[in-house]
Amino acid sequence: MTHNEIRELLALHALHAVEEGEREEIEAHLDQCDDCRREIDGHRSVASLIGAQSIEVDVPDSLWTRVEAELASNVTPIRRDRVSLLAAVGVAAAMLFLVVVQTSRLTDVRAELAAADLRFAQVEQAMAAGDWTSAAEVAAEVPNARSVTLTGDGQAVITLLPDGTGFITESDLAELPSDRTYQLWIVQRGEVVSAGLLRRGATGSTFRFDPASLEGLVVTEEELAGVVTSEGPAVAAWFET
Amino acid sequence: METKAPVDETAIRQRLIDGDEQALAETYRRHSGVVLGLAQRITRNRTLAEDVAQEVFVRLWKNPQRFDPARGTLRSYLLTQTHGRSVDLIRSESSRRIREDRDATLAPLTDISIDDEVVELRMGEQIRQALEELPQTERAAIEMAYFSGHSYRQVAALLGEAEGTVKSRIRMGMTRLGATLSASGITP
Repeated sequence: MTHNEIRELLALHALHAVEEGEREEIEAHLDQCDDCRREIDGHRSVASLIGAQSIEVDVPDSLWTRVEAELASNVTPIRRDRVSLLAAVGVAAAMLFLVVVQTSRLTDVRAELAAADLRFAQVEQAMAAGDWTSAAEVAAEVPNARSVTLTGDGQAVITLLPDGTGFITESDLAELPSDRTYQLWIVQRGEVVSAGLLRRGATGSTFRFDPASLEGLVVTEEELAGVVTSEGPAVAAWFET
Repeated sequence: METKAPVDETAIRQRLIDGDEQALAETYRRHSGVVLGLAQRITRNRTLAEDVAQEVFVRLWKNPQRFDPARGTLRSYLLTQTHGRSVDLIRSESSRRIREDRDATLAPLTDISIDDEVVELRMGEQIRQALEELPQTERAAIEMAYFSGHSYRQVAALLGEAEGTVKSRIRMGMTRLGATLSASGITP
């Protein structure tokens, strides 16, 4: 599209009302054109005013809990009586009475991403756009990246990047009632670490892991806000062979 | 609509970049209500709306540098993100059934607007008035795109109009609305 053709679409783009192909072309143009960037900033302000009329609703406490859960990976104690998950992952002997030893702060993530190469940037760009198929395809070209498949009652394909970023690229996990969620667990050094709650539909969920110590990944079904220790059976699992 | 004390959003952004979790908590307290409200209005589904709100705040935390105070307010940025994610969600294949259910329960177009919602605040009233002052064809196209998540091609098909006509109506309406709100001193 020409500059003028794109200008004609800026107001529509601010309403997220253009088609996918057009959106990509417009975004690429905006990176280079100050005039169009100024114009769309104005349209976006107008659009946000339209949206700001939406009534402010009461926000449930569980939402902040979900945000916090996704922000940090908490190493959680695994109690001796939580046998179902332990049995599911098959590494029971190494999972007893561990305490919180790590909180993965996203400041670390940012520092790692800042040093990432072009491929990583492309993967991140695709992830930010919610294009998980492209993200997985680009990730396949990143040295030492890999794709693993969790199997069980459901199945999920996860891309693991060497910088410790993981994301779900495909999933056929059964749809859950509104008060339930899937939770992802990382098995590392004999510990089970909550990697956070999976978004609805699972695909596109991201998490952090330690590439040097990853031994397995497990998905369980939990109550909506997630749990500190799991009593639920593994819905899908993968282990390093 | 914004009745809270002014906030130095450049400082908030820097605190987010520095990894200050309290900055995210403050932003969440200030804006989560309207973020969730907008997501709920568009998705018409509480669970999907919470998914959107969660993602918006997590993304802010992971990529705070994408918010540029020189290009708009934080509230505007968050609402833009919320709208985009909500539209993506209701357009996605996996949400097709939810969307069909949602559309089946939608009120007629003329009732989609804000008549039953926030009108007690003066700013909300002014925005509503500015929308109502638009020619009906422009207002309808904008509301169908914004609140129902339709692309301009879908709007054209639904209205039985040419795509070019709908594009022009949205463009003209947004420009007109922006001028009216700006003249009234209303900013996000």
